Amino acid sequence: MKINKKVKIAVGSLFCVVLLLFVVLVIHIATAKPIVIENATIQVSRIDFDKPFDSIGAIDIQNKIKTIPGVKSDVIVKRNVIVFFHDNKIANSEKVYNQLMALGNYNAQRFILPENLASKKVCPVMNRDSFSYKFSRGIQSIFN
Amino acid sequence: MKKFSKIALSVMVIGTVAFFTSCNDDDDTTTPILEASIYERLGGTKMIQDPDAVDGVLIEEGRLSYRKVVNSTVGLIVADIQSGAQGNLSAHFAPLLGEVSAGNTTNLAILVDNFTDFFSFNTGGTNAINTYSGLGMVEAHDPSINGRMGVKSTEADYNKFVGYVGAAAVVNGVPADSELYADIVDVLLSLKGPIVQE
Repeated sequence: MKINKKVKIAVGSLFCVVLLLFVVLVIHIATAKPIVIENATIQVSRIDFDKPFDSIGAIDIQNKIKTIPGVKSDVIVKRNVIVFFHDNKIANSEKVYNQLMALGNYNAQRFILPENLASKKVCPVMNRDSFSYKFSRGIQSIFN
Repeated sequence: MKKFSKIALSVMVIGTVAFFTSCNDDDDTTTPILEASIYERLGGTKMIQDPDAVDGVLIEEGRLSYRKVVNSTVGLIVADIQSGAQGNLSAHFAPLLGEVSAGNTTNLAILVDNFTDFFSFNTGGTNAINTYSGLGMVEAHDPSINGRMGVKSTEADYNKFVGYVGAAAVVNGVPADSELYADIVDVLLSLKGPIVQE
């Protein structure tokens, strides 16, 4: 009987601590201001052509690539290279490349980043399908 | 004698007043002309359509100008990256080319947002939209603290970077011989101390 009472107190205390920590977690998530990043899914990609562009060719390729859905307004043409920004929700670099090649008779290849230069860190580190992500977003959406 | 004293006193008073007023520095009544901030000169707080967002999304013109210069800087640097070769800032910026799966925030987006916030806020764009929430300059450029910083920056790297920003400003309509261009470069050079760590 005495042991039972001690166990009850211990379990009750543990439950209270867990509950308290959970409340702290919820308050922390609720009060944390979500970081809003402009154009959060913007990606930069590059296509290398077999010969450099002249001024007319540069304008022509810029106009063509800007017609592809997902490609943003800033397009850089330098020598034989075109660098463009695109929304990765709409088009990845391969899709843009394929659509651009269909718009003219070009000899070009996508610039693939060598492994030694690739970033080891990719954001976000949190899996969007995970329970922790959905839980955090759920609470934030209530308070923000 | 009394009459002489009065005249002498009057001459002394007039002389003293004339002396001090003639030597007074405050007699220049012209109001100094306050130069507009860099942010104002880049368009300021005027709200315009964001060309990279859906219709109806507005952005301050000064902020958009900075964002376009940042994008162009990145674009010009990426254009110069050589496969399998060092140099041309590839160690710093090549990781931006790494693609993430659809819908995920990119390293590039974070970098552009931080750059745009930082420069906008510190050159006169003090509205809340431009609040910089990134790391301090020293921490942001220390690879051991900021994982997105490939390696420490040398003075040569930084000078090259400033050159790219200048070229990007020209691409976006800021003449290289203008006061605005010089002011932008001055801001960048003033940051060299905390950024160059090698």
